[in-house]
Amino acid sequence: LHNVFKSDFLFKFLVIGNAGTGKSCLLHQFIEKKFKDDSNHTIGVEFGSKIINVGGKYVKLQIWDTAGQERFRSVTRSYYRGAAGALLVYDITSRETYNALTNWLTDARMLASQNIVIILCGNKKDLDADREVTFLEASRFAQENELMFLETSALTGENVEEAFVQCARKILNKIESGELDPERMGSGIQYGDAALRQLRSPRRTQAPNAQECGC
Amino acid sequence: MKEDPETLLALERAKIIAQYDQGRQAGVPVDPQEDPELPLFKVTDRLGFLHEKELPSLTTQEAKHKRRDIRRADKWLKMLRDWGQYQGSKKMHKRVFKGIPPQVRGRVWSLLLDLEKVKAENKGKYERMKEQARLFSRDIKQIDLDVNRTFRNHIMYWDRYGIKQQALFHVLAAYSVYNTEVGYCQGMSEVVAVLLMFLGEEDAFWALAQLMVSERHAMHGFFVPGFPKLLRFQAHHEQVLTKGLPKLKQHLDEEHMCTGIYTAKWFLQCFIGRTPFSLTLKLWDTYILEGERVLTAMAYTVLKLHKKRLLKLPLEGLREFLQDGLCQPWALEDDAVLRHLQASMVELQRMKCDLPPPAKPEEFPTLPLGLERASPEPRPVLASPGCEKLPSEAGLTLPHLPVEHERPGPSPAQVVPEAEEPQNEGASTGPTAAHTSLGAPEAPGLACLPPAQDSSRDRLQPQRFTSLPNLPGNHEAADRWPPAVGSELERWASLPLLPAWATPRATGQAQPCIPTGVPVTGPIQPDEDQATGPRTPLLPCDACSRCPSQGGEGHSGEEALARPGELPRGPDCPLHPLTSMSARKLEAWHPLEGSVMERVMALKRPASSSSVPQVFMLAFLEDGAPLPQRGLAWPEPRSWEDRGTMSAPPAGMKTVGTEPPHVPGQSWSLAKAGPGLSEECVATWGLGMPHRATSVI
Repeated sequence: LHNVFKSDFLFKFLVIGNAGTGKSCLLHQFIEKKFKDDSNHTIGVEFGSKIINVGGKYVKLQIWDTAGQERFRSVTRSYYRGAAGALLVYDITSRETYNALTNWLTDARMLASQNIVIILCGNKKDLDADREVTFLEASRFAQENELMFLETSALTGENVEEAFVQCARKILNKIESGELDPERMGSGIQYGDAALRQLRSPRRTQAPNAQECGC
Repeated sequence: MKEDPETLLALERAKIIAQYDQGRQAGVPVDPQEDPELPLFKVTDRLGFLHEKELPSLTTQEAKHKRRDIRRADKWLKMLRDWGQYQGSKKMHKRVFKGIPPQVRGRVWSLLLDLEKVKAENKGKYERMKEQARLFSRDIKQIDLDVNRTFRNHIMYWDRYGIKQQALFHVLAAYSVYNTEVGYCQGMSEVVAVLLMFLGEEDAFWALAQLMVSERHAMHGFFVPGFPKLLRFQAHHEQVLTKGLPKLKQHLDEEHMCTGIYTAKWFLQCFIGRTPFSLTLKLWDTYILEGERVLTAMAYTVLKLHKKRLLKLPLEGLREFLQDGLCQPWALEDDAVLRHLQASMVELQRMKCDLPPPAKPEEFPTLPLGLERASPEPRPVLASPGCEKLPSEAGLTLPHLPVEHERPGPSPAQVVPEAEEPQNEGASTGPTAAHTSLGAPEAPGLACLPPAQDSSRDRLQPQRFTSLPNLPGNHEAADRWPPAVGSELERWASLPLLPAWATPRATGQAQPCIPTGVPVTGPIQPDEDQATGPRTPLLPCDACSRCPSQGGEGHSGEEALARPGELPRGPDCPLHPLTSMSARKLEAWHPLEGSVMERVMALKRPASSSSVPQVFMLAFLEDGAPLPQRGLAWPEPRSWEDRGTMSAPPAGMKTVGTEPPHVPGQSWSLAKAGPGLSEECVATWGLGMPHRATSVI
């Protein structure tokens, strides 16, 4: 059962953003299609993975979920390296989390791969009554910073899968257009399982850089 | 119509007797919490965790363990009676490594951490730190976020703003100002939550304080920015692996599973959420006794015990297992794991790597602990125009005053003026009256400064907590109605700490201000607030952790501006039904807070401290089936509509489940392979193995 899906690619993804914006819940919703109502806060990093089908290609997403508290940034930063995509999450009901985006963005652009594809996620879309950040405002911010943008709800599941899939699709497009080279070190992209096995045997000759965590 | 008391008595007597004559079977109605069939009882396990499905009855094995635990508790009780003799003895040591029985765990922890002594040396300090936190803590918002997601599947913490959540909040808030270098760091909430399962609020605070700075625990270095101690322990862990488990180390390296990924919770929280909870507690027993050596040794033991399995797993599997799989029941019993732990400790000691290299000074507090910031200078009595409107008048009262009082007596509204009057003597009248009547600093449980001198009662202490009900100011007053005012007091006193003016509604309204015409001595709004608007824990730029002065990298100018939207949001949701209940009913509802009454009693007996015993754990231990007399009913569904509260009672409660117990700290990738899991997921996760696949030894 383990390898029913042979993935063609493996992308390293990050989920970043302030504490309490729902990063872990987004990830849980994406992987389990369920809302985790007794979610804990993340200490350090955790990660999960899922294989998705994007335009006929199977892509395995290896998603690194990070702690949101400022103090943990020193720890989580070391896991940014070689990420191909990132979900930058804020909470539409909290302007503070929106205001912090610039910092997260700088971090991601600086520490992950140069061509990192970032999608901005305005989470907690279901709490529209408490909204503090308008869709328009955030989409402008996204435009200015060349980010994709979606409003999501980890509670209802709205746009959650889309966020990951869109991000992956864009990366795939970039690969196809030649803008991204999976072979390049630190691209955050690897060829999938089958290819990986060849690469690895007998002993890894080519370091699969994407998974390196810098420690 | 007034009945004759005798008649009333007779009627009541007859009614009660009739109920007994009739009997339960004949359909005498009972409160839900008195019904042993209450669903909540059936989904709560011995450790207090709530499950989605009804729990199966105890297996013979479990029943045996229960009997064993009771025998152990007896031995411990004997030992405790003679603690001086056993303290530090081999026997005590041996017994701790079998796990301290829950009935005495709190007592033993408090002895091992020397809480009585610290408390005696710091009388009143905790209350003062709580008060300081109200004024100065910079971490309130983060604490609030995390209290809302700490052990929400545990019966003590599932209730938003419930009593234990209040205690958790208070302890963390108080500590954030007690130790300003650590402040609040994520991860501490679970540590305190575990302490609070066995200790009272103040004890838990001092236990945390001890764990942070005591020589053998020194958790300060774990939580201080930069996590120097965590890094030191992780580096050391790598070395231990290289020495002790070279093959596994090589495998982990090849799979790029570095220690930083999986050891953060191991070291920061001593395995909370990364081991089955029953084992976690026993590890905490040993940790409290032995200190940091346990962390090194247990990290080694975990990997050693699961070596065979780990060697076969690729990165995904390693992640799944180390992150989530470890909190599923292990193949080994807890006792056996602890024996392995002990063996590892000896082994590591022999290898001379039971401890990392010594700590650098950065791991220890450099600033004095528990500094109290002076309250602002007394202000000259000035008439401040713009300040006439008090927050309380701006519609910022608590949403619910207790409306349901089962006891006879005047309603609170009627009581208020009575209690208020003596304190108001000499106070200026007008808009400030309501404000000043709330001084009541001596009210037990109120997080106010204790009376500094005798005369302080005469002084009027302007408080910002204008929405608190008026309460009798001292114990004596408790003789008046309501008789159990202590418990009412406690509840009111420990309502969420966000000041009313910090709620969104407060924005743009009158700023909190010093009442005019009143000589001020007590804790009041800091001066600068008059200029900068309502003080919040987060707004002033220099108070934000990202500010360069705080060691952060700074932020853009626009962020530094205080925006109304950034104001912390107060509890503007309707309060939980529990908050509007009488103390007696509250007590009946909250089995774990059976101590409410005891706290009241304790208030009347000031001499006895630490009187919040482990009633709750006892209750769970007595029998796997929960106590029929007391319980906790699911509140009205509407309270779940609020964001962040727990979801409605699981629908599948009626059926007997075969699912493995839900374990705390389980994170998102758990609970697969059960029904309801998409095939895709199973495929993706490679979880062909049954869920309960136990670890291989």
